[in-house]
Amino acid sequence: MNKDNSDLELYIHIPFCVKKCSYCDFLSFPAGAELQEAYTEQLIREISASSAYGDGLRVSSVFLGGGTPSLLEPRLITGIMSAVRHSFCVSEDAEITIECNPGSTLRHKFAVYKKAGINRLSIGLQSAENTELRMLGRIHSYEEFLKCYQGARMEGFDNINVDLINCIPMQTMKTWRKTLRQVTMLRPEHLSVYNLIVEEGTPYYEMQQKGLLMLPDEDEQEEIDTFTREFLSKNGYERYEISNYARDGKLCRHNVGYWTEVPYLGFGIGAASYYDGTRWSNTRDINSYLEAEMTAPEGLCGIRNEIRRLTEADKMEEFMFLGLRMVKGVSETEFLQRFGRSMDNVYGRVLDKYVENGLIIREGYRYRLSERGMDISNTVLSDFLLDDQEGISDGK
Amino acid sequence: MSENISQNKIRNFCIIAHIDHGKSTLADRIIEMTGLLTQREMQAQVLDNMDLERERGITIKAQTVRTVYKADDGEEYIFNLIDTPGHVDFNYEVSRSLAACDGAILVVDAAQGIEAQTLANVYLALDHGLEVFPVINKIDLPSADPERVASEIEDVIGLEAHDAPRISAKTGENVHDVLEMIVKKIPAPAGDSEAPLRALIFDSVYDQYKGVIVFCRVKEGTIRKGMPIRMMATGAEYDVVEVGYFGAGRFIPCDELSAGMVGYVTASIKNIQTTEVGDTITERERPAAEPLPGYKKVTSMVYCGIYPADGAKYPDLRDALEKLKLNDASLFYEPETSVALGFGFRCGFLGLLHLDIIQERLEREYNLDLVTTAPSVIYKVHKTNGEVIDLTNPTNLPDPSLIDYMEEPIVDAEIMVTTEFVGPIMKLCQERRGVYKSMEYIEETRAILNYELPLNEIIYDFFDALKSRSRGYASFDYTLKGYKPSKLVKLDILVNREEVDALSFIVFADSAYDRGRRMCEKLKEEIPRQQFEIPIQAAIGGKIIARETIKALRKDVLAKCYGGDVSRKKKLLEKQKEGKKRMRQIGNVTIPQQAFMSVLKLDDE
Repeated sequence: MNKDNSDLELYIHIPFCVKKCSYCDFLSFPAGAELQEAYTEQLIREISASSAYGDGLRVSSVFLGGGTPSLLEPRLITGIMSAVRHSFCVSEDAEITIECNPGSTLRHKFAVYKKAGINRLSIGLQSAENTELRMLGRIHSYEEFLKCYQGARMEGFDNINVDLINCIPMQTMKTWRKTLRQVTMLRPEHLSVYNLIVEEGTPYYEMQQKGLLMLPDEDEQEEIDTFTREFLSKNGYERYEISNYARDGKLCRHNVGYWTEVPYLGFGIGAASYYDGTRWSNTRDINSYLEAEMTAPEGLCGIRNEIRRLTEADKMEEFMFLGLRMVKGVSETEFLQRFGRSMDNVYGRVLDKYVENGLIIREGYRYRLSERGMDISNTVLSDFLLDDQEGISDGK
Repeated sequence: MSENISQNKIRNFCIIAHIDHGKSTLADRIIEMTGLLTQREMQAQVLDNMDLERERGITIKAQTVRTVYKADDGEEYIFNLIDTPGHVDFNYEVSRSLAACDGAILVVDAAQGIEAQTLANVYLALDHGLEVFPVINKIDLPSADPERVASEIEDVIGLEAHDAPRISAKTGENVHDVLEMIVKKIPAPAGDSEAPLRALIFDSVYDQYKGVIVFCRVKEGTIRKGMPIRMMATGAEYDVVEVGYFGAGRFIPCDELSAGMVGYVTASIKNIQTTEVGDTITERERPAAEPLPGYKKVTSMVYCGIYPADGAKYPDLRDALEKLKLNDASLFYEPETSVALGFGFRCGFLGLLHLDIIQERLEREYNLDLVTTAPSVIYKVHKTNGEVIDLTNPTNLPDPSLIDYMEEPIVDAEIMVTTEFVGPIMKLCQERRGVYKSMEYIEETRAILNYELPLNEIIYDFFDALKSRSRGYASFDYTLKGYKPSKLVKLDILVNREEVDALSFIVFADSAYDRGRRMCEKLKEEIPRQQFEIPIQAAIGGKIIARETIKALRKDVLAKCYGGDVSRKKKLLEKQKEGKKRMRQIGNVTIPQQAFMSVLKLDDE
């Protein structure tokens, strides 16, 4: 996809939410207007201080994620976007996405987004059943989502993703079928369908420990997954990654970039970057972020954690475990070009084992996960980690 | 510093108690109240100085401490408190520690009363001619009934108990009475300090600078710095480098130890094997005619295979066992190889608790991840050619066509139980192939059951079963009786159609079917679901007798990649990979460590 090696992606993290959902373990929290303003100012400083990273590169995608970026006052979004354009060379056809949560004021923000050059929306619907939404701790209703969705179309947004989550409390085959049917009728260009994962530190985790979280059992989950695949395929949605579906080739370029090792810079707290063969994450602490002096390079380095210069082995591992998340899988030719070693030479034994038991399929010079392989991708992908890795450079 | 203490100012004693009846707490109180340590210096329970001991509330190694008590009569007395191991596995060690004492304090819980082990240890003490006086502890408990317990002590053991101190070791209440009783009731040591030296070894520890530190009680004669000595049983000879006595948690050197004293000896001894518990130290130039009675060579009762979870840690495991052995003469080990587990050791233990303790110490103190195979007793295999093999590893069982017959070890078991549970316990013993010998009522509500039981039936989960079927009230003790011919077979376990040698075990033929079935069920619980379906089968001589199937894993996905946080995703995959590492790869199947101990947990109830 992104074969142009002058591509650069930008991720901008807005950690604010009206209220934290019961299953969410992302870096997000409620905040007042003052903090939002201060944070945005600091973001803009970080973006400006980072402009040298863009030398000779063209920004092919910008993603405003969260949290709930749509919670910010629209003028702040405009401010962020103009800082981006001021500091980086943004491609004419760049994909610029903002994550939104349905809410009463959302519709009125679309015009501003459009004007700021945003051309893709990712709306966190999760379910079309209001009881399920309540169980998830979401604050919107399906009806509110509908209004927002229609508003976005009216504003001319022609590339919309809808996030859905399944295998959640109260969900049955019947309610899930209804959710999928209703959402596909709206014909969004893209669907992200995630299985609920109960993460430690969330209210759901507490409930699960106490035995209060009633989730669909394994048979139901399998039924839900199979139905999802078949139903979406029948309705023109192509699965291109473990949890992502697109119609008419409208893949999320930003995400595909992650899986195919396109360099990206993350701005804001907790944001991850991959640049010049090095991975790092920004501090997760809002105060240290706000207090940091945004100067290049010292100030920027001061807020970075877990800086890790990837070894050749790291890169090979990532090539495999990220690439195999894509339905089209990984290419032997590309591996050879990139690493000067054949894939067989490094991973021959693992690949043979999985081709033999049908979890990986070989087609020509490509390897990809079978459907069953996708279902249990963790156990398969973990076998692509190589032994004897060096530790992270900060000594952890 | 010279030690000229007259014998009549010395009291050598130990404390006898059932687990949890408060032995260590009382010991702490005695140490504290005799002014050796301030309360602040005292870590709770000075004597149990291994973490493990403190946690489990049991004493594994004999611990000894000397304190000075100024009695009500105005005189100062030297107290040597020798804390003994309290478990049936360490019976021999207990008996040697007792032999080093002149008297014993019997601690009985004011709520629970006498237990089988208490009884066994009291009899052991009385057999050694010790003066025993009872103390009733935990009177602070709401359920305490000291009067009932006092009459129980009188009825069952025959010890005078109406004037027994009623104490709370926890609060210190009436502990002063115990101190006075020690002075009055426990006889001062006797023995001629001019006679040829006879000192009893009751324990030893290894110190990396001083070598083996031998704990001994001088019965006759005097042991001095520089004296050439000989161990009478092993014949090893040394020159004494240092003698001394025990402060709390430290060794205090002195010039000599004379008859009646308890202390330690170092002599640059590198090998703990030459200083066996129970042996007698004598003077090389002027040896005693006879060693002290009671020495016997300790033998392992229970064997199992211990393997590093990560094969590369084999040398670490070997080093750790070497070091543990320095402190524990009763630990036996030799290298062995398993098809399933690779290189490891076959280890011999005094009993299941001993096994447990060694395993935990290896894991904690040496930071090793271990795979332990099912414990086995020693079977005597009589081959048709007349040869007799001592079988400690089921894998080595010869082909059935070469076996004439097999014998298994039998123990005399004594189970103490309240009468309402006699039924369930008898049923348990029956299930475990017990042969009923007798039953005595020690009072209206309590009875002692005597059974002859095969050792291999009790090393697994007998103790747990006993506890669960008597709501914790039954207690038990056993002694090895001898060997008996028995119909035994080797039960093999096949995982994904491959035999796993480390899971094989020997079982009584008539129980084989049942054990096989339960073993398969247990393994099904223990082995996590994997990428494909796995059959678990039990077989005897190639014939499948039971089967279970572990269904294939259906789902294991990491959904969201948050803001391109690849490092986090990788960490999750690494965690999964680590998890796989901690398991054993048998063919295509990964088996977690604890599955190899499954055979231990097959009791139905």
